[in-house]
Amino acid sequence: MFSRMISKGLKNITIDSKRSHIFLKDTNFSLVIMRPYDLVQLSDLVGSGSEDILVWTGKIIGKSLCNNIQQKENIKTRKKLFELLLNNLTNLGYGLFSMIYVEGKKVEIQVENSLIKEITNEEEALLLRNLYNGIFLGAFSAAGTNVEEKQVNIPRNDDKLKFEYQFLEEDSQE
Amino acid sequence: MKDLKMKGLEAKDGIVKLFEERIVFVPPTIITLLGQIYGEGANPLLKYLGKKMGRRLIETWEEHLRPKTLIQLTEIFLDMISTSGWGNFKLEKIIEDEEIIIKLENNVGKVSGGPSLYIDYFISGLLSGFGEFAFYNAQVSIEESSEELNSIFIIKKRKIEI
Repeated sequence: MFSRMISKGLKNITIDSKRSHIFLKDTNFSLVIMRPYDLVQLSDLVGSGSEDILVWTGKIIGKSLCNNIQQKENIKTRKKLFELLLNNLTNLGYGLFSMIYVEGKKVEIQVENSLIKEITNEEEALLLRNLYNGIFLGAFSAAGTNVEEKQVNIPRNDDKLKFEYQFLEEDSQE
Repeated sequence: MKDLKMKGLEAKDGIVKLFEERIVFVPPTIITLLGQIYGEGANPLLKYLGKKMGRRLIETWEEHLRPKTLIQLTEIFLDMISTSGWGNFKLEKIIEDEEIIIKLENNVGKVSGGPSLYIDYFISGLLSGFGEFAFYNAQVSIEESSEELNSIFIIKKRKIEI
Protein backbone atom coordinates (compact mmCIF):
# COMPACT_ATOMS: atom_id res chain seq x y z
CA MET A 1 0.00 0.00 0.00
CA PHE A 2 2.77 2.45 0.84
CA SER A 3 5.31 1.05 -1.59
CA ARG A 4 5.24 4.16 -3.81
CA MET A 5 6.67 6.74 -1.49
CA ILE A 6 6.19 10.09 -3.15
CA SER A 7 8.10 13.04 -1.79
CA LYS A 8 6.73 16.43 -2.76
CA GLY A 9 8.70 19.55 -1.92
CA LEU A 10 11.07 17.60 0.30
CA LYS A 11 14.66 18.77 0.06
CA ASN A 12 17.83 17.48 1.70
CA ILE A 13 16.37 14.00 2.18
CA THR A 14 17.27 10.85 0.29
CA ILE A 15 14.94 7.87 0.56
CA ASP A 16 16.39 4.43 -0.11
CA SER A 17 13.08 2.67 -0.63
CA LYS A 18 14.74 -0.69 -1.29
CA ARG A 19 16.27 -0.80 2.18
CA SER A 20 13.65 1.44 3.81
CA HIS A 21 16.28 3.87 4.99
CA ILE A 22 16.28 7.66 5.04
CA PHE A 23 19.41 9.83 4.80
CA LEU A 24 20.37 13.46 4.92
CA LYS A 25 21.11 14.19 1.25
CA ASP A 26 24.68 13.40 0.08
CA THR A 27 25.67 11.97 3.47
CA ASN A 28 25.52 8.65 5.32
CA PHE A 29 23.64 10.35 8.12
CA SER A 30 20.67 8.10 8.91
CA LEU A 31 17.32 9.56 9.86
CA VAL A 32 14.10 8.05 11.15
CA ILE A 33 10.59 9.43 11.26
CA MET A 34 8.95 10.32 14.53
CA ARG A 35 5.81 12.23 15.44
CA PRO A 36 6.03 15.44 17.50
CA TYR A 37 4.40 13.72 20.47
CA ASP A 38 7.01 10.91 20.31
CA LEU A 39 9.67 13.49 21.12
CA VAL A 40 7.76 14.64 24.20
CA GLN A 41 7.63 11.04 25.33
CA LEU A 42 11.40 10.68 25.12
CA SER A 43 11.48 12.70 28.31
CA ASP A 44 8.45 11.05 29.86
CA LEU A 45 10.43 8.28 31.45
CA VAL A 46 12.66 10.31 33.68
CA GLY A 47 10.14 12.50 35.50
CA SER A 48 11.92 15.42 37.12
CA GLY A 49 14.88 15.45 34.71
CA SER A 50 12.68 15.55 31.62
CA GLU A 51 13.83 19.01 30.54
CA ASP A 52 17.46 17.90 30.63
CA ILE A 53 16.76 14.83 28.50
CA LEU A 54 15.16 16.97 25.81
CA VAL A 55 17.98 19.54 25.90
CA TRP A 56 20.44 16.68 25.66
CA THR A 57 18.53 15.00 22.81
CA GLY A 58 18.44 18.33 21.01
CA LYS A 59 22.19 18.76 21.51
CA ILE A 60 22.83 15.42 19.78
CA ILE A 61 20.64 16.47 16.86
CA GLY A 62 22.22 19.94 16.56
CA LYS A 63 25.77 18.70 16.92
CA SER A 64 25.46 15.82 14.49
CA LEU A 65 23.68 17.96 11.89
CA CYS A 66 26.39 20.63 12.10
CA ASN A 67 29.14 18.03 11.82
CA ASN A 68 27.51 16.59 8.70
CA ILE A 69 27.04 20.03 7.16
CA GLN A 70 30.71 20.82 7.82
CA GLN A 71 31.83 17.54 6.27
CA LYS A 72 29.71 18.13 3.19
CA GLU A 73 30.51 21.75 2.52
CA ASN A 74 33.41 24.09 2.96
CA ILE A 75 31.98 26.49 5.54
CA LYS A 76 33.98 29.62 6.18
CA THR A 77 31.87 31.45 8.76
CA ARG A 78 29.70 30.55 11.74
CA LYS A 79 26.90 32.62 10.27
CA LYS A 80 26.92 30.47 7.13
CA LEU A 81 26.99 27.29 9.24
CA PHE A 82 23.93 28.50 11.14
CA GLU A 83 22.10 29.46 7.97
CA LEU A 84 22.65 25.97 6.61
CA LEU A 85 21.66 24.38 9.92
CA LEU A 86 18.37 26.29 10.03
CA ASN A 87 17.73 25.45 6.40
CA ASN A 88 18.28 21.76 7.19
CA LEU A 89 16.02 21.92 10.23
CA THR A 90 13.28 23.48 8.10
CA ASN A 91 13.61 20.65 5.60
CA LEU A 92 13.55 18.04 8.36
CA GLY A 93 10.19 19.31 9.64
CA TYR A 94 11.18 21.29 12.74
CA GLY A 95 9.44 24.47 11.54
CA LEU A 96 10.29 27.58 9.57
CA PHE A 97 13.36 29.34 10.93
CA SER A 98 14.61 32.88 10.62
CA MET A 99 17.72 34.36 12.17
CA ILE A 100 19.26 37.70 13.06
CA TYR A 101 23.00 37.23 13.41
CA VAL A 102 24.98 40.10 14.89
CA GLU A 103 28.64 39.22 14.35
CA GLY A 104 30.48 38.81 17.63
CA LYS A 105 27.47 39.81 19.72
CA LYS A 106 24.33 37.71 19.50
CA VAL A 107 22.08 35.42 17.50
CA GLU A 108 18.30 35.66 17.54
CA ILE A 109 16.37 32.72 16.17
CA GLN A 110 12.65 32.63 15.53
CA VAL A 111 10.66 29.47 14.73
CA GLU A 112 7.27 29.51 13.04
CA ASN A 113 5.24 26.32 12.64
CA SER A 114 7.28 24.68 15.39
CA LEU A 115 6.52 21.15 16.59
CA ILE A 116 5.06 22.70 19.74
CA LYS A 117 1.97 23.67 17.75
CA GLU A 118 1.11 19.99 17.47
CA ILE A 119 1.11 19.39 21.23
CA THR A 120 -2.20 20.14 22.89
CA ASN A 121 -1.06 19.86 26.52
CA GLU A 122 0.48 23.23 27.46
CA GLU A 123 2.98 21.78 29.92
CA GLU A 124 4.23 19.23 27.38
CA ALA A 125 4.38 21.90 24.70
CA LEU A 126 6.64 24.03 26.90
CA LEU A 127 8.80 20.97 27.54
CA LEU A 128 9.42 20.58 23.82
CA ARG A 129 10.93 24.09 23.74
CA ASN A 130 13.93 22.47 25.45
CA LEU A 131 14.54 20.31 22.38
CA TYR A 132 15.04 23.42 20.23
CA ASN A 133 17.27 25.03 22.85
CA GLY A 134 19.33 21.82 22.88
CA ILE A 135 19.61 21.79 19.08
CA PHE A 136 21.02 25.34 19.07
CA LEU A 137 23.35 24.69 22.01
CA GLY A 138 24.62 21.52 20.29
CA ALA A 139 25.23 23.50 17.11
CA PHE A 140 27.13 26.23 18.97
CA SER A 141 29.22 23.53 20.59
CA ALA A 142 29.97 21.93 17.18
CA ALA A 143 30.99 25.37 15.91
CA GLY A 144 33.30 25.80 18.91
CA THR A 145 31.37 28.80 20.21
CA ASN A 146 30.56 29.63 23.82
CA VAL A 147 27.19 31.29 24.31
CA GLU A 148 24.80 32.30 27.02
CA GLU A 149 21.09 31.91 26.52
CA LYS A 150 19.10 35.05 27.16
CA GLN A 151 15.54 34.50 28.33
CA VAL A 152 13.08 35.92 25.86
CA ASN A 153 9.63 36.89 27.06
CA ILE A 154 7.04 35.56 24.71
CA PRO A 155 3.48 36.87 24.77
CA ARG A 156 1.00 34.06 25.48
CA ASN A 157 -0.86 34.55 22.20
CA ASP A 158 2.34 34.43 20.12
CA ASP A 159 2.71 31.05 18.45
CA LYS A 160 6.31 31.66 17.43
CA LEU A 161 9.28 30.36 19.38
CA LYS A 162 12.06 32.84 20.04
CA PHE A 163 15.60 32.22 21.23
CA GLU A 164 18.45 34.61 21.86
CA TYR A 165 22.07 33.69 22.53
CA GLN A 166 24.87 36.06 23.38
CA PHE A 167 28.41 35.22 22.43
CA LEU A 168 30.67 35.09 25.44
CA GLU A 169 33.64 37.46 25.50
CA GLU A 170 36.31 35.18 24.06
CA ASP A 171 34.12 34.38 21.05
CA SER A 172 32.91 37.91 20.47
CA GLN A 173 36.46 38.94 19.56
CA GLU A 174 36.52 36.77 16.41
CA MET B 1 -10.85 -1.50 4.45
CA LYS B 2 -10.79 2.12 3.37
CA ASP B 3 -8.39 3.29 0.65
CA LEU B 4 -5.68 5.72 1.55
CA LYS B 5 -4.92 8.70 -0.67
CA MET B 6 -1.34 8.23 -1.86
CA LYS B 7 -0.07 11.64 -0.89
CA GLY B 8 3.22 10.38 0.54
CA LEU B 9 5.60 12.93 1.96
CA GLU B 10 4.78 16.60 1.63
CA ALA B 11 6.78 19.56 2.88
CA LYS B 12 5.88 23.22 3.15
CA ASP B 13 7.10 26.04 5.41
CA GLY B 14 8.94 23.72 7.78
CA ILE B 15 6.04 21.31 8.16
CA VAL B 16 6.60 17.80 6.82
CA LYS B 17 3.61 15.51 6.55
CA LEU B 18 3.50 11.79 5.86
CA PHE B 19 0.07 10.74 4.66
CA GLU B 20 -1.29 13.99 6.10
CA GLU B 21 0.16 13.43 9.58
CA ARG B 22 2.93 15.79 10.78
CA ILE B 23 6.27 14.08 11.23
CA VAL B 24 9.85 15.08 11.93
CA PHE B 25 13.17 13.48 10.96
CA VAL B 26 15.58 12.61 13.79
CA PRO B 27 18.81 10.61 13.86
CA PRO B 28 18.26 7.06 15.22
CA THR B 29 21.42 7.53 17.29
CA ILE B 30 19.30 9.36 19.88
CA ILE B 31 17.85 5.97 20.83
CA THR B 32 21.32 4.42 21.20
CA LEU B 33 22.53 7.32 23.30
CA LEU B 34 19.40 7.32 25.46
CA GLY B 35 20.06 3.60 26.02
CA GLN B 36 23.58 4.38 27.16
CA ILE B 37 22.25 6.98 29.62
CA TYR B 38 19.62 4.63 31.04
CA GLY B 39 22.32 1.99 31.53
CA GLU B 40 21.03 -1.21 33.14
CA GLY B 41 17.44 -0.02 32.94
CA ALA B 42 17.67 0.61 29.20
CA ASN B 43 15.85 -2.53 28.12
CA PRO B 44 12.49 -1.91 29.88
CA LEU B 45 12.67 1.87 29.38
CA LEU B 46 13.30 1.77 25.64
CA LYS B 47 10.68 -0.95 25.22
CA TYR B 48 8.18 1.16 27.14
CA LEU B 49 8.99 4.18 24.98
CA GLY B 50 8.67 2.17 21.75
CA LYS B 51 5.47 0.56 22.99
CA LYS B 52 3.72 3.89 23.48
CA MET B 53 4.78 5.04 20.01
CA GLY B 54 3.79 1.73 18.38
CA ARG B 55 0.43 1.73 20.09
CA ARG B 56 -0.38 5.28 19.06
CA LEU B 57 0.72 4.62 15.48
CA ILE B 58 -1.56 1.61 15.00
CA GLU B 59 -4.48 3.28 16.80
CA THR B 60 -4.27 6.25 14.43
CA TRP B 61 -4.07 4.17 11.30
CA GLU B 62 -6.65 1.62 12.36
CA GLU B 63 -9.07 4.49 12.79
CA HIS B 64 -8.25 5.87 9.32
CA LEU B 65 -8.23 2.63 7.36
CA ARG B 66 -10.57 0.32 9.29
CA PRO B 67 -8.90 -3.02 8.49
CA LYS B 68 -11.11 -6.05 8.83
CA THR B 69 -8.63 -8.84 9.47
CA LEU B 70 -5.49 -9.36 11.53
CA ILE B 71 -3.45 -9.69 8.32
CA GLN B 72 -4.73 -6.32 7.06
CA LEU B 73 -4.03 -4.70 10.42
CA THR B 74 -0.51 -6.15 10.50
CA GLU B 75 0.22 -5.07 6.93
CA ILE B 76 -0.88 -1.50 7.66
CA PHE B 77 1.41 -1.33 10.67
CA LEU B 78 4.38 -2.89 8.86
CA ASP B 79 3.91 -0.60 5.87
CA MET B 80 3.79 2.48 8.07
CA ILE B 81 6.75 1.46 10.16
CA SER B 82 8.75 0.51 7.05
CA THR B 83 8.45 4.07 5.78
CA SER B 84 10.02 5.35 9.00
CA GLY B 85 13.66 4.56 8.25
CA TRP B 86 14.28 1.68 10.70
CA GLY B 87 14.56 -0.85 7.86
CA ASN B 88 12.14 -3.01 5.94
CA PHE B 89 9.61 -4.92 8.05
CA LYS B 90 8.24 -8.08 6.44
CA LEU B 91 5.52 -10.37 7.65
CA GLU B 92 7.01 -13.87 7.84
CA LYS B 93 4.20 -15.80 9.43
CA ILE B 94 0.92 -15.14 11.14
CA ILE B 95 -1.09 -17.54 13.27
CA GLU B 96 -4.47 -16.04 14.06
CA ASP B 97 -4.95 -15.34 17.75
CA GLU B 98 -1.50 -16.74 18.57
CA GLU B 99 1.62 -15.20 17.07
CA ILE B 100 3.05 -12.93 14.38
CA ILE B 101 6.62 -13.37 13.14
CA ILE B 102 8.23 -10.31 11.59
CA LYS B 103 11.55 -10.04 9.80
CA LEU B 104 13.31 -6.69 9.87
CA GLU B 105 15.60 -6.46 6.85
CA ASN B 106 18.46 -3.94 6.87
CA ASN B 107 17.95 -3.09 10.52
CA VAL B 108 19.25 0.49 10.71
CA GLY B 109 20.92 -0.31 14.04
CA LYS B 110 23.01 -3.04 12.41
CA VAL B 111 23.67 -1.19 9.16
CA SER B 112 25.18 1.79 10.98
CA GLY B 113 27.88 -0.48 12.38
CA GLY B 114 27.39 0.51 16.03
CA PRO B 115 25.73 -1.63 18.70
CA SER B 116 22.17 -2.40 17.59
CA LEU B 117 21.10 -3.58 21.03
CA TYR B 118 19.28 -0.40 22.10
CA ILE B 119 17.59 0.08 18.75
CA ASP B 120 16.46 -3.57 18.95
CA TYR B 121 14.93 -2.91 22.39
CA PHE B 122 13.16 0.14 21.04
CA ILE B 123 11.86 -1.70 17.95
CA SER B 124 10.63 -4.61 20.04
CA GLY B 125 8.75 -1.97 22.04
CA LEU B 126 7.21 -0.57 18.85
CA LEU B 127 6.08 -4.07 17.88
CA SER B 128 4.86 -4.73 21.38
CA GLY B 129 2.60 -1.64 21.18
CA PHE B 130 1.18 -3.07 17.99
CA GLY B 131 0.97 -6.58 19.49
CA GLU B 132 -1.02 -5.34 22.48
CA PHE B 133 -3.45 -3.60 20.16
CA ALA B 134 -3.83 -6.72 18.03
CA PHE B 135 -3.83 -9.37 20.79
CA TYR B 136 -4.79 -7.30 23.86
CA ASN B 137 -1.84 -8.76 25.75
CA ALA B 138 1.35 -9.66 23.92
CA GLN B 139 5.01 -10.35 24.43
CA VAL B 140 7.79 -9.68 21.90
CA SER B 141 11.04 -11.59 21.67
CA ILE B 142 14.03 -10.99 19.41
CA GLU B 143 15.74 -13.78 17.51
CA GLU B 144 19.01 -13.30 15.70
CA SER B 145 18.65 -13.87 11.99
CA SER B 146 21.19 -15.91 10.04
CA GLU B 147 21.48 -12.89 7.73
CA GLU B 148 23.86 -10.32 9.17
CA LEU B 149 21.77 -7.16 8.79
CA ASN B 150 18.39 -8.66 9.62
CA SER B 151 16.52 -9.37 12.84
CA ILE B 152 13.52 -11.53 13.64
CA PHE B 153 10.83 -10.37 16.07
CA ILE B 154 8.17 -12.71 17.42
CA ILE B 155 4.95 -11.23 18.79
CA LYS B 156 3.20 -13.82 20.92
CA LYS B 157 -0.22 -13.49 22.43
CA ARG B 158 -0.08 -13.81 26.20
CA LYS B 159 -2.75 -16.16 27.42
CA ILE B 160 -4.47 -14.91 30.52
CA GLU B 161 -5.52 -17.73 32.79
CA ILE B 162 -8.33 -17.00 35.16
